[in-house]
Amino acid sequence: MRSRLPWRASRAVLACGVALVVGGCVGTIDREDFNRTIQQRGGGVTPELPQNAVDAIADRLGVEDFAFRSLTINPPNELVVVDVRDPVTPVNLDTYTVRRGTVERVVPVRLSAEVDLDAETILVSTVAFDRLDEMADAAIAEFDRDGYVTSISATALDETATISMSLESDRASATARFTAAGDLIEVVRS
Amino acid sequence: MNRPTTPRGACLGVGALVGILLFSASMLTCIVTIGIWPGEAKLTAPLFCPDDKPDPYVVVDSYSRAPGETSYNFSLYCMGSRGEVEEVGFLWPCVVLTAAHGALILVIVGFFVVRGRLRRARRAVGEPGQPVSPLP
Repeated sequence: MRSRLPWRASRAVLACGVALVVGGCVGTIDREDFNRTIQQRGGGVTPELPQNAVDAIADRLGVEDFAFRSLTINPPNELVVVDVRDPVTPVNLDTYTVRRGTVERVVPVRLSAEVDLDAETILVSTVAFDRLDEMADAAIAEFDRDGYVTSISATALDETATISMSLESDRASATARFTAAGDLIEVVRS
Repeated sequence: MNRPTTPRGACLGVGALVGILLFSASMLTCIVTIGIWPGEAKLTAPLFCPDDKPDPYVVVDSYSRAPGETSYNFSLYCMGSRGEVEEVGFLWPCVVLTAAHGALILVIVGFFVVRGRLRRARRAVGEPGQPVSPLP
């Protein structure tokens, strides 16, 4: 009687060969498609991004609240960059780079003699970062349902702050502006 | 005649078996998870993904270190409904999968060992020297 073992073994070897040749990427997604998925879901904007950064900076400074001049959020990289007024030495400004809720770097900012930090900074607690998801939804609804947020920045000027949100879609780009309370002012197509 | 097993010998035997099991599980993880099906790491998502980011993705990055050479890097990410992501990496999912593969190997080997013993026990019944139940 002819043994069936060699045939079975050769089939197993063939299956392993095919699996190794075809495999290597089963169940994966490449970076480009992954980023597109993030964009389809709105760009990854959540209130936790700035809140975690603010908490990390407040912990580092040992204060409950602090004044800032500008705050920039880059959702894809989970990166937040904040120009913070030193609560101990208020004439100084430092740039804090925070990634995923951890302060990565603090760099002093060189200021000119004309800079008035009293007018150009505002307490972080007065800006509605906790409404960031609602703001993103409002801006995307006004701009393009298929759009997404690429970056967000808050800038203090004249004792108030303006929040700007950069938006993109396959066919257009725009900037949405909000009050410090998180109310939409306008969406301007670029 | 069988020699009695000493405690030291038993420890060495168990250690060798554990070593073989670890090696086999690691090799299986290398072949299956890294070589053929990196998406298997998504099965570990319930252990690593937070509740607000429940959707797992295994992202593959390819880059060339030298001409004619392409390297691949896999990483498990968890994504939330707004597109927010958290990177888990690939090391801890591989550790968990190695443990799971080890358990799977144990179950399969245990199944065959138990089946073999049952067969031997059945064959032994009725052989000369074995007690036979008296006829009624």
